[in-house]
Amino acid sequence: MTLGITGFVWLVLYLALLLFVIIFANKKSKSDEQTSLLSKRQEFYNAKSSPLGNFALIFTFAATLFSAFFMVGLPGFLYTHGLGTWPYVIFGDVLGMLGLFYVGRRILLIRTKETLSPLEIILPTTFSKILFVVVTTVFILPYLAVQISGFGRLINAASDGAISVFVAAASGLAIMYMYSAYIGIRGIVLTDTIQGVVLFLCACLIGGYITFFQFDGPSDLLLTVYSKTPDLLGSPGPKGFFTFGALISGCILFASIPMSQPQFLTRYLIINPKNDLKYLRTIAIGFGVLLAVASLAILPIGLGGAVLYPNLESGDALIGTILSNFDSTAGRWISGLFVVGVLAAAMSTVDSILFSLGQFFAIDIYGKLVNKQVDEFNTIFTGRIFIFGVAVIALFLGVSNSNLIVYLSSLSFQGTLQLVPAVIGGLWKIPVKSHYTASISILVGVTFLFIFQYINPLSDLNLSPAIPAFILSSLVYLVSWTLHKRS
Amino acid sequence: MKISKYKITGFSIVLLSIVATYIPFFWNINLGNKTLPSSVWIWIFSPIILFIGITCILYSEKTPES
Repeated sequence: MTLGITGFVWLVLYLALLLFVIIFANKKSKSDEQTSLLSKRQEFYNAKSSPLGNFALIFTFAATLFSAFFMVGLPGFLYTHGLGTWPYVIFGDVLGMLGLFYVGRRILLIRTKETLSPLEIILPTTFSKILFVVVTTVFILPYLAVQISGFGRLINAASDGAISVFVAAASGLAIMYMYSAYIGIRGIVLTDTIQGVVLFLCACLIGGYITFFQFDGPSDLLLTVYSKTPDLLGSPGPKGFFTFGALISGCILFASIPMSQPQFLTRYLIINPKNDLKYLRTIAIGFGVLLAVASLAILPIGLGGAVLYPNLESGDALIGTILSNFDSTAGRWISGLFVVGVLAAAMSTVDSILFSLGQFFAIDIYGKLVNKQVDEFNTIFTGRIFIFGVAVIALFLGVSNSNLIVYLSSLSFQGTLQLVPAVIGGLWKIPVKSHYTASISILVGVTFLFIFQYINPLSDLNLSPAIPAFILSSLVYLVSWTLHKRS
Repeated sequence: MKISKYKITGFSIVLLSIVATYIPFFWNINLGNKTLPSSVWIWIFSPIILFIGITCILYSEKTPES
């Protein structure tokens, strides 16, 4: 799969649009006293005063969830495991609307003007904050690294090797660092909006092209799949993946994302509680609509691909094969747009994670442990240094492509699921006096997550090891809280 | 405590969609003489029904000003 003239045109257009938005956001932030990187001034985002309003807020929540997996991995997963992929992924995403709404509303209600980081209102002790940041970093940094190496490889392949993986990944990271660190969350929200729109269009165009140009509509596509490979439309799928337990595990893991992932927790603070609280419902519903429609558009890519190209070595090769065979003019333009779409998907995830981790390190670790008297200027300066540090580490981890990093990235959502009891308990003020409850719960969850990778007590039910670990961490939280309440 | 009609409807729809999604695991149904098994349509539409249910729940919630 090469970039070609059409891909090059799309890439230039995308980068130009990104540059325009960055300049616009930077100009706006200079003229707006309320904008800065890491402060209470994150309340800059006033939906009423912005023509983008809810639209940008919906896209920033959705785009941060759209990773490169969505564009490349999901069609491959559908190709290999069939229709069950759709409820497996989207059930949890739709349930995540509840998490987004309730956690978001709670954060907006209990935050104060001095709240700089969501961890300040979620966790009671410095130790629990450090533990939260360490666990998040261990599980999210490898995921970040895999995304970075993914777009490095994509550009490398699309340029026929003219641009090396390292140079492509480093250039993309440098762009993201500039707007994340120097324009802050405003730059991220606005670029996320563009990235979300590009991605959404990409998914719909390719899905629509396959459904209506390579088949005679959705019914014909499904009937053809059913006549050639009926296993793809039933349970447990051709490889036996979609069991009762697998569906429950997927549902819990995906639904937990808005409650545990750092890029979501930091986003709740950008909603101005005085003006935008009533829009939270619109944001949650818009988030669900975007994810559901985009995932539905991916269905024909995976299922149609299974009929059109049945003998591929793996599902990962599907999307490249489909795009290489788009020989019409329209097909070539869509194919070029896809390369940009994957780039946008990776960028919208990477910039948000970079920013969140930098913010956690600067405020919750440096500001609480190293220099408690740090002022706002120095907090921002420190934040920029941390974001740079995280970016450099992620770049080298991604390019190294070590097995450990790939393994840890596969555990990413499982690891952050173990933080959910501490987040929910902290937000609803369950640990009134028991300061160590959150820390104990996180430690138990993560420890047993690794143990259960080898001896999963619920393997007979086909449940992911993360589920029993999550049950244990929740129980520990409740028991610890009860003991403290009695004492 | 009075529970709103929206919330009851929402939870009923959510429950219905969850139960419906799990039916194909236990029963490969083919209602009538259709070419595609009904489980295909259940899997395609149950997440959409879930979305409608959750939207009802969200509309039943007040969003108090801080």
